[in-house]
Amino acid sequence: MKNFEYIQPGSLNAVSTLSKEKFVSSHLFAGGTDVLGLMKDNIISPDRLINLKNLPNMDKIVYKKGEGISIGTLVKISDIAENEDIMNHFTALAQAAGEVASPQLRNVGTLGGNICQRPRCWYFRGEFDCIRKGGGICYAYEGENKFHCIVGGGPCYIVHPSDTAVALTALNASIKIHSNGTMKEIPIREFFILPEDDPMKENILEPGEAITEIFIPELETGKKSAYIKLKERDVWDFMTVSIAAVADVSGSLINNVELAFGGTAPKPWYDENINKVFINSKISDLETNVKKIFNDSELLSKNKYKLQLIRNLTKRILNNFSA
Amino acid sequence: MKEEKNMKGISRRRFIKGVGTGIVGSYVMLPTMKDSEAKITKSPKDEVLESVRTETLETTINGRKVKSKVEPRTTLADFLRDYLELTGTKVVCNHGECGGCSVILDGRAVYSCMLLALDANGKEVITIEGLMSGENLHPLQQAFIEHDGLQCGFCTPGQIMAAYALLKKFPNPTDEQIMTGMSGNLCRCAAYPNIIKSVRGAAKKMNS
Amino acid sequence: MVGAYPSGAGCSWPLRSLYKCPNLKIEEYSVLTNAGRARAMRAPGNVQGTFAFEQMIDTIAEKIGMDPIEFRKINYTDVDPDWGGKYTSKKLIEAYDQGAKAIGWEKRNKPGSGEGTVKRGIGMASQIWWGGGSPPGYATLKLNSDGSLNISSGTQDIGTGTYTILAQVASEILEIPMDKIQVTLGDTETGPYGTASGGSMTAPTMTPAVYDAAVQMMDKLKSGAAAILEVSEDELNYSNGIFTVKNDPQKTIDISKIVNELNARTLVTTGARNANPDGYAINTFGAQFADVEVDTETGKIKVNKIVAAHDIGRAINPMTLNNQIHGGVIQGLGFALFEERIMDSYTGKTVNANFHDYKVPTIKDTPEIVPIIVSETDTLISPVGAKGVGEPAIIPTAAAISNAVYNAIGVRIKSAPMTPDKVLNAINNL
Repeated sequence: MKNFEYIQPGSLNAVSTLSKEKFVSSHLFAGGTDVLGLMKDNIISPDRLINLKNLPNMDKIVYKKGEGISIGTLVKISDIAENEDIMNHFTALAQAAGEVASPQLRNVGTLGGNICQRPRCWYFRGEFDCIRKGGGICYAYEGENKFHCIVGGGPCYIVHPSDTAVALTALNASIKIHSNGTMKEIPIREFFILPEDDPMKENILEPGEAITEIFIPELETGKKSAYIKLKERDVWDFMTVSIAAVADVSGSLINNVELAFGGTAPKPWYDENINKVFINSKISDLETNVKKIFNDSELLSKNKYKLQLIRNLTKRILNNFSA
Repeated sequence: MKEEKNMKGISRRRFIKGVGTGIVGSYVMLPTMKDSEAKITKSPKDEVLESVRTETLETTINGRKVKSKVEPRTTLADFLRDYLELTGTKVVCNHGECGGCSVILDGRAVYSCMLLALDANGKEVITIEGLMSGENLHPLQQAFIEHDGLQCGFCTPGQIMAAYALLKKFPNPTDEQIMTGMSGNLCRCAAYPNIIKSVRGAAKKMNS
Repeated sequence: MVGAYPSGAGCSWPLRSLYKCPNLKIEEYSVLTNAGRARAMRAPGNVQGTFAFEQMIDTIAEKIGMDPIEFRKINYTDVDPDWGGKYTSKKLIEAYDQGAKAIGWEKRNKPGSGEGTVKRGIGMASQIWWGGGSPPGYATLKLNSDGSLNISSGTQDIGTGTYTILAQVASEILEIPMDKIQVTLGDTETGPYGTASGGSMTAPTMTPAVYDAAVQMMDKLKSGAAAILEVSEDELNYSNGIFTVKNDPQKTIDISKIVNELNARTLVTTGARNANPDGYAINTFGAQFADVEVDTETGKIKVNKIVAAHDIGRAINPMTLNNQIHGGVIQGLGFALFEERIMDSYTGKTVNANFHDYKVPTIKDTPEIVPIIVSETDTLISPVGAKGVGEPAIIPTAAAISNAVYNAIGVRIKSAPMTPDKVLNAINNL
């Protein structure tokens, strides 16, 4: 690792200024479990790390009944997995947080960092000058692509690796961002971008911007949420495919549902048209209905199984709501 | 250069500029030596150090206060091993993918290879060396011996530190809690069944 | 596929010697690829060969409508089919019977006949390997004047418990407590040559060398005791470090006193591994049984239980032995379900050379493991009677899991690792 300057700014304004200084490459640093990995693999080699950990009031969880929950960007993943309010009211997020990596990484990784982590594509992480690193081609497209995306790909075919981002997408969270002295709030469903917009980044954050908190509105009465994830190994593995659902299911009828898919696309995949297939449908019709989703997928040579897997898991997560 | 006296047994690092060569060398004092008889040993990374970009780290390691100058890029694992010679903490993958470098930071198990040493500022670190009291092994260390919770032993310090954090949180862990708490530590010899027995055994002893 | 250079490991050994087959023709060749050179890993070639072969055996048994164990039993052989040598010991039938009982073989259903989306299956596979050990291998014993004993040898302990079992063998003969025995290994500068730790040879090669040295030491002590006590050697009893004159129990001498009285300071002996018996085949045998669940909607395989029944001669130390079996089984499970070098075919670069893409089993992937040792001792090999277990433990695991997966879903997964994508593709004929 190249040596760097380690700065502890006292305010968000200072973060903005420091991030944008000319001729100095800077990187934000919180838990650091992804940033250090990227630096050790020489994917990034910043001149400066800006430590956010000591900024005040960004590590709190505040739940207001009837309104929602605010989670500071610095809250540790393990604290989210074990927070009673999150477990009770925003179950999908607690379950997703519990699925992240390993206990040691959950103890260090932060929510902001988890949703901003870079993809795990082995070409991106390996010694390949791929599109996401400013190169000319996506090696996965005709290469080893069993974990790559089936929708939203091109010219790069990564999947977004974050578990919590999938849950937050289904939960319709919004992201509060400090941007050069002002605050803005962006729905998470608009936070992530596709490679066709910019193949070198995964979200809309610009230099000078930093996430301060994530807000999830209270679920409407009757709605519950859940997250399921298939991983090859029983722990410490990124999703092959994962699904988060917020649903209102009474008996055998799905009254309402919002689905988000992980391991499927270069961003947590959310599509109103998928929801519509299931809204006001019967649990008993799931078998037929799941065949209507992801029919526009672009399947690569080694990821055809994902289509079947996504449909089966959709069936399973919705079935679980009626059980 | 003014030396600040630290607690006994902890080495410090000071920086001496190599005259005429332009190379900056940093030097470690061995832990057991008094200042007056300090022998100077080179730190492993010094040859490539071109500029002095260092910060002061003040932390507590195994109950002792430590103050040292470190480069920001120094990981906590490297600091423990190369600066303090606490080599019980093992670096295997150096990518947070194996658990060999697990230590306790403010009561929680963490991978010391995926933390900067500077992130331990103002915090308390416990390593495998901190578990013994005098000549007596910690009940966890004893249990790993009694239940043969290892084969080659390379992952064992990390396993024990993960178990230490686990038993702090759940003094009477269920098997499920053991499996989850220990799930961030690989054992290539796959001594897992005996690791589970060791953790169970230690919990029993520590509670009695 | 062996990469750029073959490693010398063959996959066909189990085919040649596991069953009686008078008309056998085997052709085996290596496929060189533009990859790094092949490297040996625990039972090189045999894990792979057994994975394929034992699935074929199950397939044949099914086609002729026979129980897989029954089919293996009728093709059982008492002699090495390759050259006709009689086995020094072979308890494979016992492994079949005891393993079948422990897994609940009678509950096994027809392939793919289970209800629901998660299907359960039981399967088994057999194992043959060498592991008898051989000369050369030496150990030096030093008995000190305080009655403590040093054992030194150039062999190595890679975590398998060599330190412990060498001390144990000396302790048994010399009746010196384990805490008074110190073992120094891994250094041929201070100790005599010992075998490399590999090929499941350490225990069967090195324990007889220690045994030989300990017997020599006992002879020295006995003649010393007889001289000091002025009786004949026949008149002496020995127990826990003390010689007693049979007809005069008041007359005793302990071993440290012998060393002192002889003014020897240290008694030294060096023992050697005995030659193996001529005309015999020496092999280890075993059978493993797997109980698995296959989620037919996700393609994920969960191994509930592995029963590992092995003939490895004498079990010197059950605790370290079981640890070896656990390790072999879990590594075998890794081969069956997770572990694979994935290479980008355009560039020849390995894309998963790290621990998150190359998935080694974790504690959460660990099934219940039931080791059963069906053998007692193989005295034809050596007075200790131990065979090796390191490699035998890994050989049949993946094959047993794959046969259990077939039993669960009625579809054969012919390539390892059996990852969810392969299982789903096989189920859906993709």
